[in-house]
Amino acid sequence: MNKFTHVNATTIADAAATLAKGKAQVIAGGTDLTSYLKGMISPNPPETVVNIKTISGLDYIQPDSSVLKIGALTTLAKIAANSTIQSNYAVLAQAALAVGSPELRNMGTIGGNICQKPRCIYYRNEFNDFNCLRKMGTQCFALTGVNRYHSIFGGVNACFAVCPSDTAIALVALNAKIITNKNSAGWDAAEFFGMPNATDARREQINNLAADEIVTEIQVPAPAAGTKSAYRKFSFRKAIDFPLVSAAVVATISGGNVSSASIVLGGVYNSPRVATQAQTSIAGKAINDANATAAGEAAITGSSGIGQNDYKRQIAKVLVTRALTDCA
Amino acid sequence: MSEEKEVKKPHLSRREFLKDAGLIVGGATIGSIALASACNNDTTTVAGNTVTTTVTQTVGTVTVPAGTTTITQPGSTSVVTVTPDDPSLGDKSRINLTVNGRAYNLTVPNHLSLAWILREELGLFGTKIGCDMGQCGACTILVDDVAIYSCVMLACEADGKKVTTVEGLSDGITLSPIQQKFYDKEAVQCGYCTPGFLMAAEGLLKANSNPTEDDVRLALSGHLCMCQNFRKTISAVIGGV
Amino acid sequence: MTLPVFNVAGKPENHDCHIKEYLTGKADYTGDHMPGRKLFGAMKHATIAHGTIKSIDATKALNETGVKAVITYKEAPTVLNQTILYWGQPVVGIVADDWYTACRAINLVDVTYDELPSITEADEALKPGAVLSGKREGTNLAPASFTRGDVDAGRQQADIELETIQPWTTTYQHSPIESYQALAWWIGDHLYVYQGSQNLHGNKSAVVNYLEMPANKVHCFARYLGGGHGARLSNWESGIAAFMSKAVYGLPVLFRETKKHNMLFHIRQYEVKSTYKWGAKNDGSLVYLDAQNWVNGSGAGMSTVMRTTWIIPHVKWEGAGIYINVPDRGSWRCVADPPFALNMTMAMDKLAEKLNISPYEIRRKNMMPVDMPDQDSPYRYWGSKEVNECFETVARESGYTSKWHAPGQNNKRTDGRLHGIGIHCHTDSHGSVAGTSMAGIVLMQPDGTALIEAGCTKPHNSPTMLVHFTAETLGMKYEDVFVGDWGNSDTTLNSGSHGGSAFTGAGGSAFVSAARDCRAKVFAAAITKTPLKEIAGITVDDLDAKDSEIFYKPDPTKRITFRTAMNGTPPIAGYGTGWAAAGGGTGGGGLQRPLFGLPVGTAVNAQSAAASVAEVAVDTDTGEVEILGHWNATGCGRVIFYEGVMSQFGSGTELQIAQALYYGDVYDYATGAVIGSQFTETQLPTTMDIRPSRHNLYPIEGDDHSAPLGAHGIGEPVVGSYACILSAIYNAIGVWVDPDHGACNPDKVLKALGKAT
Repeated sequence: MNKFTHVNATTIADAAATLAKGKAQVIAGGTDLTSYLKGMISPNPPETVVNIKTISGLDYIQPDSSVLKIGALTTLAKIAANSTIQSNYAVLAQAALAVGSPELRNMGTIGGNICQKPRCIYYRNEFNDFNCLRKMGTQCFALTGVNRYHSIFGGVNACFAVCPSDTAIALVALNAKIITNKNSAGWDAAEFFGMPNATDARREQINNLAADEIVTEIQVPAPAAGTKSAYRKFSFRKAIDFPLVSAAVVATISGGNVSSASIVLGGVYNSPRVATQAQTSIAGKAINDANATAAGEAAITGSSGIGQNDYKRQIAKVLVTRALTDCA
Repeated sequence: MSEEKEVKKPHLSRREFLKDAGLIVGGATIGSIALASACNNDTTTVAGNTVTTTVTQTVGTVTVPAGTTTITQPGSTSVVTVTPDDPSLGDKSRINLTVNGRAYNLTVPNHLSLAWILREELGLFGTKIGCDMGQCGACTILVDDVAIYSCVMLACEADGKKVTTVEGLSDGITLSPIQQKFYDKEAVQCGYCTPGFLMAAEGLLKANSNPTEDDVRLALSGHLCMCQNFRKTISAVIGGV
Repeated sequence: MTLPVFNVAGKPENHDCHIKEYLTGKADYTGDHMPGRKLFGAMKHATIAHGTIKSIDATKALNETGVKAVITYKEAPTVLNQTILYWGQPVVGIVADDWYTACRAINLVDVTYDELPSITEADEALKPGAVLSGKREGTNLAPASFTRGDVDAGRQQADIELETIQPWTTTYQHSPIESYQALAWWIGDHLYVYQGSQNLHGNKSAVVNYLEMPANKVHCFARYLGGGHGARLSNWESGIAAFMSKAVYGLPVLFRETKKHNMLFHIRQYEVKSTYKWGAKNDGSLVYLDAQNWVNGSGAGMSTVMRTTWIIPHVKWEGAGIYINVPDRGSWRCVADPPFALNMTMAMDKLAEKLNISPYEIRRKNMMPVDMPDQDSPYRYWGSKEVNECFETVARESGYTSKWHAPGQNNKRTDGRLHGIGIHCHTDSHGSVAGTSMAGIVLMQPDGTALIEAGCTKPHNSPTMLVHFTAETLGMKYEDVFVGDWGNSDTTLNSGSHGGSAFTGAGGSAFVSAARDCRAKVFAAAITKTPLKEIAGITVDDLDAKDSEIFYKPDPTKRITFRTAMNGTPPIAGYGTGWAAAGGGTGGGGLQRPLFGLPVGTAVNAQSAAASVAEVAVDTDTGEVEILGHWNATGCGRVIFYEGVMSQFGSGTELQIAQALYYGDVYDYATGAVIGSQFTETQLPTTMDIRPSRHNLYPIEGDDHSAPLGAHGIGEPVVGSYACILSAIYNAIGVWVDPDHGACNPDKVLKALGKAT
């Protein structure tokens, strides 16, 4: 296990100050970071681990008429079980329920889920036997090796790992805001996710947080009347696995037709992939088999396999179709 | 060349020591003559409720940390105090927690998981380590009545928690209800995943006393079993005929 | 068939002797000892596929606080090697006072290599001029062949011929929940080792050889273990732990393998690629088989399956084992039978299609009858042959005949998915009686209860099995027979290994013998007790026992308890050794009761058989396969420990599904690394993937006349029939899925459907 100093933060400012000193990361539920340290995945591991569970007031679910606010330390189990989220923000409840296992949902927080590290099979290989370009190495091993689980929409900074987070896909589809200690107005979810083109440990992030930036709250705008949403996940196993492909749909239906649709794909790209062509395809139309199928086909415009992952194109098509049908 | 190093260890009777060393089998003490040579310099002093044991062991040039352990016997405050080997805390934390109804004040290295501490510090080996990375469920315990993977929880972050392990389900002689259900269905093969399943099932039944088959399958979905004995496990948790 | 009635064996109410230990957390596995009083060992692995170690610099590791010692092939030449033959091979051991420090030190040891060209893909090894892996002298191949009759003559007789190609089968990879580990310590020049191995005395023998020590100074313990599967016969960890402990002056060292190392260091079931050329008559009877089999891994003895199930007058097969720079192949829930059976079933289904008959009919037509001996020397009969009954049972219970349709025809469900059904059967090479070198001790205590001294470990059930054999043979109640010493090489004799489903026959025959010896001695004491001693001319042959009472057969009212018999009698030890179905051992082995007119002592085969039917629904949009129903019948001989048998059945059924739909090593061929080393990659299915309420289990009691109490082992046969699932998928979609060294995952199904490349 990498060596680290453990500190309990009392406030966000206190935590941020420790992060600002460098080579430090936050620990929330701990389900990812402890394995990351035990596996000695990275050549640039944190030397200080900052526990933010000792900061009070970050665990809440507050829905009101205009916005749903969720504290960053709210567990995925609570989000999945919350009746308001299940009714009005179903895609988020379903995405939270799709994560891992009951134990992981009892421990894991939504803040942690959107800050976890990638799951590429080479990146995650313990003892860092494959020091890939995500870790400041020079090569993407997946491109010429096992890429069955990787991106069908190309690489980012030549990295073909996909976004491992289920809730990320839902949050982008919901046009959520990610509030941090340095951005009180909040990041647009679609801007929040991505791989920093950094030359240090930040390169391993699945989001654009600064080194001393901490997620404090998620805000989701309340849905317009007639809005339904759904999350469909494909993985080889129906529990524990990360998404190979997923689809989040938020559709507002008016007069029998889609007045607006947010369609986002997971498991297919470095970050949540907004399927703009699919959104255009279904706009103004009824959700029926033919239209949903056409939207599914539109969703994979521009995609291509890199050797072993061509099947994701077929799956993505089907999941978009089915998630749309769930919202009919 | 050997030198004597004073090794102060948590208090155990000789029989418990030998039993923990796996050397007592079926009632007979195996190898006790040989091992006695390692134990023959035990000194034990009792002062009031405090028992201090010093074990001297012949070792090579390996340095064995020295320290003092103090245990307050049950009947007083039931607090087990284990003071650290190293006077300054450094990379350790003090935690107060209850485990199976008993309060502990421990000093734990910050990098060790709760699973590790339960096993190696408290000798509660019922909780198993499988993958050690939160993917198999062998290490599941209840923390504040909720099932979690103890291998990915740092022990230093368990301050103030109420922990229940498989040893805490019953007195070990009379089976608890969930243990009895597994007994009735003979729902064990190699047994390695069993404590994890028991704790997950215990957590489920605390929240839902009459689960359906689908409720059970979901609640246990974080548990792998290489023997692949889900049939027995699921039917045990559902119970009935 | 009328089966002998048992008083103890097979009773559903009997519980495992140690079930409460499991349920209360008291069962002690290897790592569950010496809390806070041991050091920890970890192992560094090679990161080349082929070559030699040039240098090892452990300076940084030894300077790391907490690291105590490092061992290499120089200190431990019997367990570590300078020659590297696969990526991931163990190279350097590190001992520290903290497990995580030992792991961290793995990357603090600098190892340099002289790298050699490597070969990591099996197909490459078949090409001329292939790079040599170094695993065999001058070649990568171990050729094997077999002949029966005259295939050329057979070609003249066949009405129909068909050549089929079967691509590489899956690897059933090495993924137990408890990673391998061993705890060793020295006291003076005596070595103590605890390793949850599947072979207690085998472990000791291995350690004696590794350390080159006298046997009376090696003391092995092996009790509980977390998953055996026939692969936990490895004793290498004990050797490593012993050397590690030696390096720290005998302090206890727990050598643990990380999850990744557990995947890298160990054997997995091998993969098979085949071509089959069939010749058959129009009526479906087989005339000849001309086959080629390529095996990634061991090639010796290409599968009983090919020889023992079907009547085929003329057979030729050739092929080779292929040895390349990947982790070794070997047993993991069998070795040969599942992959060979898989390929043979699929090839047979293709032949059936050409003949325009169903898979059921072609098997029905060609199955060896119960009383037919082997078609090959030495032409043995079978102690019981259950394949027919297994096959008919699953066919009947599943409704196979009425549900079967031509592949991909008339099978669309209302939910749009395609229905399919598949059937498989084979006579397995496991479950036999091989107890000639196994021994048991049964002690009769002064209070009239019995103890077994079991030289075995407990992957599950084993001592419980022996208690059943013993109680049944003694004529005692189940609750009056206990497990005494077990899992301790000092205090027991070798009762058998738990690999290959051989324990039932091997340990069982040893303890039946021991119990008979004990019983005879107790009866000798009994006839000296009232009221038996008053019977004029009574001999021990006049006695029998049941429910812990000894009675006079002509007048059962004359009875005493075992306790009374032991009153004033010195303690009694019964001792016995086992026998083999093929002859040898106690009483000469072979048949224990006459069969088909063959006398007692005739050498026979004693192997189990299995059959399964799977019914599936295939989502042709996603490639996902759902098991709608699964029927599994395995020949048990007789059921001895009922709940143990039912657990094996249930788990065997789930394992078939796991192997067909989930398992499979993931390789990085460029390096030869098993890149999938976590559970998320080895894909053990979860409770959300398996619905046991759809599984139907049929223990088929065939009463093997060569086996103790007629019982077979079933651990391999019960998992080997997963071909039925692949056949069912074919039946659903009309296209065979290429498992490509892995499982029929959705992406492979989509490829077969032409919906993915």
